Amino acid sequence: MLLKKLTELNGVSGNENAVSNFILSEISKYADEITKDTLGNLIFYKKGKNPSGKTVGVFAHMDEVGLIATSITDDGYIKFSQVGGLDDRILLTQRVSVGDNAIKGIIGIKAVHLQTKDERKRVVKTEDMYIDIGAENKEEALKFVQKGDYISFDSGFVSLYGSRIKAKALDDRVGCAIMMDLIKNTYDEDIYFCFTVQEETGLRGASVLSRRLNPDISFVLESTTASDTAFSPKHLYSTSLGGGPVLTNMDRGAYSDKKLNEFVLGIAKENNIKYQYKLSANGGNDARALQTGASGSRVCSISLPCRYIHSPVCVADMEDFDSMKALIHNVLCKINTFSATEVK
Amino acid sequence: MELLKKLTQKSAVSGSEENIYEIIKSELDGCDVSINADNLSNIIVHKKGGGKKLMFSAHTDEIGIMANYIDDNGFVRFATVGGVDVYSSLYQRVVFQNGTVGTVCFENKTDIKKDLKIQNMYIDIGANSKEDALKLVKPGDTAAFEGDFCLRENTVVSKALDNRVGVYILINAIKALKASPFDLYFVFSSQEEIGLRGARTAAYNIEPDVAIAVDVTSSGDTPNCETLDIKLGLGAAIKIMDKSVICDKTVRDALENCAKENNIPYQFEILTFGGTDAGAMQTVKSGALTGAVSLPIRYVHTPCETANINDIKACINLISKFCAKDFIF
Amino acid sequence: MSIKENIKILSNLSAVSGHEKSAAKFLCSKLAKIMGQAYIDNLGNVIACKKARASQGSVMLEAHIDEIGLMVKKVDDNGFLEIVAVGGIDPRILPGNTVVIHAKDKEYKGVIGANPPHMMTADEYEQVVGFDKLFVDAGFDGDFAKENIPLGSIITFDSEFYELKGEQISTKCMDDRASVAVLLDVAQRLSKIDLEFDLYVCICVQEEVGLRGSTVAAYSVNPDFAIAIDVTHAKTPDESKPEFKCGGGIAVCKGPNVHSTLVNSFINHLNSLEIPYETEIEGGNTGTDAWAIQIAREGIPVLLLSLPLKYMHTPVETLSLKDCETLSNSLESYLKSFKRTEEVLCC
Repeated sequence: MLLKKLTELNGVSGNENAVSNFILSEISKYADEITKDTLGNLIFYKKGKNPSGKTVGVFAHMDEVGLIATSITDDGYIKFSQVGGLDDRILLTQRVSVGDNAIKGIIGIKAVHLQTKDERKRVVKTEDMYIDIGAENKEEALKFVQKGDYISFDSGFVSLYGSRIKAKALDDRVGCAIMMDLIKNTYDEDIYFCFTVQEETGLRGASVLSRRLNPDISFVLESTTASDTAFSPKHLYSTSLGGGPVLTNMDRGAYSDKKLNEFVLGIAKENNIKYQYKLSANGGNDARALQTGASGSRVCSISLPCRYIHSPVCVADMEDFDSMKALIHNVLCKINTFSATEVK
Repeated sequence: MELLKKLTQKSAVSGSEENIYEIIKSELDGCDVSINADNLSNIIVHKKGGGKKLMFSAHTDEIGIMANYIDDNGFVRFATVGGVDVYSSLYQRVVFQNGTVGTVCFENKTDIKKDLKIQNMYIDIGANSKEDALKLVKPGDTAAFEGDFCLRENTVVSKALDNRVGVYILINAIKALKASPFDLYFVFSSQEEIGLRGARTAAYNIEPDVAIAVDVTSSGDTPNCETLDIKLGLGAAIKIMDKSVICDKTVRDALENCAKENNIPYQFEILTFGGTDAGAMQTVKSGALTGAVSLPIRYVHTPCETANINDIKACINLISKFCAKDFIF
Repeated sequence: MSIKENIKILSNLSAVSGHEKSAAKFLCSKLAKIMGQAYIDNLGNVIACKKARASQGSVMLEAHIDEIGLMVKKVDDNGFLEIVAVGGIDPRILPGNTVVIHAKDKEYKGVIGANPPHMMTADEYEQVVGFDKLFVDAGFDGDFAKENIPLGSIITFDSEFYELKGEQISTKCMDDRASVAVLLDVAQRLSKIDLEFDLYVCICVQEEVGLRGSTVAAYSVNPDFAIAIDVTHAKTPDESKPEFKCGGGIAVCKGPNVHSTLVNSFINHLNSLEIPYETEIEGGNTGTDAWAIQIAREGIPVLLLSLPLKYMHTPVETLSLKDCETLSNSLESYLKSFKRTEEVLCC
C-alpha cells in the first residue's frame, strides 16, 4: 500500500531525499517532463488533452516534522532540537531513527521514582531531553551519529478499528500518495504535480516554486487538524474524522479563492462526495506561499482530517482518504472549464 | 463627503473586496486611465506615462469576522479576519453580506476580565435553531462591524475609515490628475489586513521604481495613550518607520519638499506597532524606493474610527501634487 | 590594510537599519576600487562584482552592514528625547550608556538616563525599565531640541574600539561589521587572482529588521550559490549553551537552511587545510540573511559561516581577530579551489 510505504519513509524538512527518490522511481514514467529544483522540489508536468491555457498546479509537501542532532554528550547521548513545530509533551519515551543509517534510539527520561515533586509537575523541554542510542561514550556514539543528522519517529503504519489507521507523517504523505495515483490519469487540463520540500520550516519549497510556475490556480493537498476528541467542545472540533475531505475558507496563512472553493463544492455535490468545511481559522500550509507568491494565485486547500497531527501517532480515516482522492480527481477532470469572472 | 460615506458604509471584509469595485469604477468613469484586476482581486488603475514607474497602493479591505460553526441552538461561532480586538468587538453589531445583523456576545460564565477570547464568544443572529440560522448565515460567510458615518464640523467618525479613506484619497487624486512625468499605477489592493497580500503580488507584476502606500495611522493625541507624535488636524502624515518598513529617505524628503512647496500641512509618523502595504512593496524583486502617506485617525480598528477632514484634504493635495512634479530619484 | 584596521574603521561608521547610506557610499567606492564594479541599489545594498573574463557561473558573498540602534520618537517640552528601538535591543543594557544623536547635519552626545535609586520605591528598584520609560538626555532645553532634533533622528552607541587580551576586540556593531571587514579582506586578497566565475560581494541593509536588504540583493544577483557571513553566540560565564568559543574557529551551519552539498564541499576544504571550525546545527530559521537568500527567485544554494561573538546587540560586542583571520583564509582558499560553480554543486 502506497500510503504505508510513504509514511514509513523518513523525510524531515531539509532531508527529503528518501521520499523524493521513492516518488521519482514510482511515477517518473507517467510524466511528460520532470524538474527537480535547487531546494529539492519535484515538479511533474503532465500534458492535457484540451488545456485552457491557465497554469494549474497541485501541491503536496514531502517533508515531515522531526528532530536534528545538535551535539553529542561526553557520555554518548544525543542532544537535539526540533525541525518544524512539535509539542514537547509528546516526545518523551519515543522511539526514533537517527541519521541516514537509521540508528535506533529512544528519548529517555529518568524514572518517576527519581523525580522530585516539582519535576513531576513540569513539562520537560526539548532542550533538556536526550536520545539514548546505547553508546558507551562520545567516541563510540560518533561512529554512528554526526551533529546535524536528521532524526525521525520510528512509528509504523497500523490499521485500527474499521477504516481508521495510525501512522507518522500523514502530514503530508497523504497528499503525496494521492498525487502519485492521480498522475496516472490524463486530464483535459495541463497539470503540474508538485511535491514540495520544507513546508514545515516555513513554506520554503512552495515559495520558490511559486516563482518558477507562477500558477493561476493552485490546489494544496494536505492533512489538517481534527480535534473531534474527548473533552473537546463541538465548536472547537475544527474538522471531524469520517466527515469527508475538508475545504478551507480561511486559515492563518491563506484566504481560499471563493470562486474556486465554490467550483470544488459543486463538483463534490455533483458526484455525491462527502465533504466538510474547516471550522476554525487556525493553521496554515503551502497555500499561503502560493497565494502571495509571484503574481499571486487563486488557491484552494483540500485536506484530510487527521487527529494528533505532528505526532508519531496521527490517526485518520481511509474512507476520508478515498473520498478526498475521488474529489480531487473529479475536480481535475473539469478544471479546464473553470473561469472566474474578471473585473473589467 | 458623500463618496466617503458611501465607501465606508459598504462592507468589504478581507477576501470580499469586490463590493468596493463598482464604486471605484463608476467614480473613475471618464478618467483617462485603464482599469484591470488580477488573481488576488487587486484593482490596478494605470495612467500610462513615459517616466519612472510610480505606484500607489491603498487597501480596500476592512477587518471583520467569519462565521465558522453554527451550534444546535442557532448561535454562530466565528473567527476574526484581521486584527480584531476581542474587547472592542464585544456587544458590537456585525452585518453579514446578505444584510443579516448579529450581535457579538460572550459565554456568560466566562470571566471577561481574565479570559475573554474568540473561543468563548459567539454571534447572536436571533435564530432559534441550527436550521433557522443556516438560512441566514453559512460557515465561511463574513461580516463587517457596523458603525455609522457621522460628521461633526471638521471631524468624521465611521467604521472602516481604515482604509476606505485611503481609497477616497486615491480616487480624488486620480480625478485631479494632470500631466505627470511618471508612469503611474494606482492599486486598490486586497487583503492588507491579513498580511499585506494584494500589494505584494501587484508590485511583483508592476515592478515599481517608487512605491507609496496610502493608509491610516494611529494618532497619539488621546488621554494617556501610547507615545506617538501624531495629532489630528496637523495634516498629512509622512511615514518614517513602522514594523513593516523603514521608509526611503529620498522618498520621505521628496514628500516633505512637495508639502512645503505647496503649503500643505504635514507631520512625521513613527508607528511603534503595525505595518502597511509599503513593507510588502519594498522587498519585491529587486526592491523599490518606498514611502507612505498616512491619514492620522483615532481608535483604529473600532467602529468609531475618527479623522479630521482637513487632514484628508491635505493627503489628497499632497498626492496629486506629488504625481505632477518631476522628482529625481 | 589588516582586518583589524578595517574593523576599526568600519565600526566607526554609523549604519542603523534603514539609515545605512553614508556607510554604503564609503563601502561602495572602496569595493569598486578593489573589484572593478559596484553600485548601490534601491534599498541601499552595496553590490560589487569582480567579473571573470569568460564567466563560468557566479558566487555571491554576503554580510550585512546595518546595526541595531535607537530612534527619536518624540522630543518632550524639556528637551528629553523619547526613543524607540530599531532592531532587537534588551532595554536592560541601556541605562548609563553614552550615545551619539545624529541630527540634521550635526552630531550630539547624550546619555541614556536612569532615575537614581534614591528616588525609587523598593518595588521599582526591582523592575526592568522598558522603552516607554527610557529617554536620552543631551542637556538640551525644550526649544533647542524641538528645533534641532527632528523626529526619526538616529541614535547610536558611542563606543570605543577596545583591544582585549588574546587578540580579542570589543566595540559596537561587530554584528555584522566584522564580517564586512573580512569580506573586504577577501576581496582584496582575490583582486589579483583570475577567477573563472563572477564574484559578487553584497553588503546588505536592514538585516536586523527582517532580512529585507538580502531579499532583494539575492534577487538581483541571482548567483549559482551564495555564502552568507554573520555572527553567532559564543560561550560566556552566564550562558554555557553555545558551543563556540571566541578564538576557537569559525562556525559552519548545518540544517534545512543550507545546501548540504555545498556544506560538505566547504567542510572537506577546511579539513584538508586543517582549518579549525565547529558545526552549528539549526533546525529551522537561522535568523540570518541566509534564510532570505535561500528562497530568493527559484531557490539559491546557500552556505552560512559565522564568527563566534560575545555580548551580541550591546555596545561591547566582543570577538577574536584570530577567528576573523581564519574566516578570511578559508574563504580565499576555498574560492580559489574550484573553477566552475558546477564542480561544487554537482559532487
